[in-house]
Amino acid sequence: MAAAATPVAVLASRVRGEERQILATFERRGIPVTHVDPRDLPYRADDAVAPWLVVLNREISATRARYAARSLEAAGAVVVNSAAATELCGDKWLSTLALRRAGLPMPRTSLALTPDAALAHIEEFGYPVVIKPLTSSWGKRVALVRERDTAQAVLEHCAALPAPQAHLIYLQEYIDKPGRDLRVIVVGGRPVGAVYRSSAEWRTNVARGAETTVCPLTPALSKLATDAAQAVGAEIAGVDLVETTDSRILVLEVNQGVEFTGFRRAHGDSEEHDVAAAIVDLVLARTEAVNRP
Amino acid sequence: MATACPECEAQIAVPEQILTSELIECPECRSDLEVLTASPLLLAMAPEPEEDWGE
Repeated sequence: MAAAATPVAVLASRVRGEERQILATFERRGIPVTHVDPRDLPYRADDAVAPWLVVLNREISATRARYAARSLEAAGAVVVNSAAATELCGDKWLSTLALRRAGLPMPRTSLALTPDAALAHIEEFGYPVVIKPLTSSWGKRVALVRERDTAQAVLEHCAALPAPQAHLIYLQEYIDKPGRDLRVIVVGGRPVGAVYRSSAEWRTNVARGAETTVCPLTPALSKLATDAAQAVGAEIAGVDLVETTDSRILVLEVNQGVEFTGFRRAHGDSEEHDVAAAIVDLVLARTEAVNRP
Repeated sequence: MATACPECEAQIAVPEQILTSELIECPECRSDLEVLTASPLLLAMAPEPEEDWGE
């Protein structure tokens, strides 16, 4: 790998609004930073010197994010989020196990290792049930199944997919939410803020067009979100939560490559809720820690 | 800066601060475009999102 031009790099093959805001925040503060497309880097097992001290991993591809993080950590860089957190959050079942291990409240969840086995699990679970791919994001291929015929059809589609991992079926109890869920963004152990995500359809991902509005950040919400981020080891985390009809709040999942355009739309340009600034603060703190061990 | 859309050839005004790898939309044909290089400005059709893209 080439010699470092700057101590900090931002890794991203796509510059979305989030990356633009992060890079602009570095620039406004006069901090030199290198934007790197991870596809352009050589990853050599015998070249163990990373060109940067700290790498902010904003890669949009979960696979590339994972391998780039592992390689750069092996070469001595501090990667934020860490490779371990990226791997854990990139697999819904592994992150579920970590959240459960931390004793956090979640919907009932189970894993079937084949589509055939999943049908028996579903019958035991009862309907409606949610079937999720282990590794996808933005609500892609997440199915709400209300009866056996649909379950069979969805599972047949899963079985027909070529990737062996697609045959592992992640099942989750459907929570009859009030047309919305909650997203809390946690950076460096601090909740930066929360939003409601509302949609006419049952999936409430911003990537699917959900509307965001400010959600008051209560102490209970803050604690649940920071505990969830800590459980998966994510320093930058988008924690998805859902309210139940009996007023409990459950953790759905933790996203490590958090998008915050919808969050910003709701909170506006408030300094207190500036996610890009919080991320830059975290990266600078990590850089300082590396410089002064 | 201005350049032609690689799909419909309409002239697109691009901000000076555009970054490599940034995504923009052609106001004429609504195509998603990717900035291959910011200097010199070179646009291409943005690739379809891959299965493992997300947050």
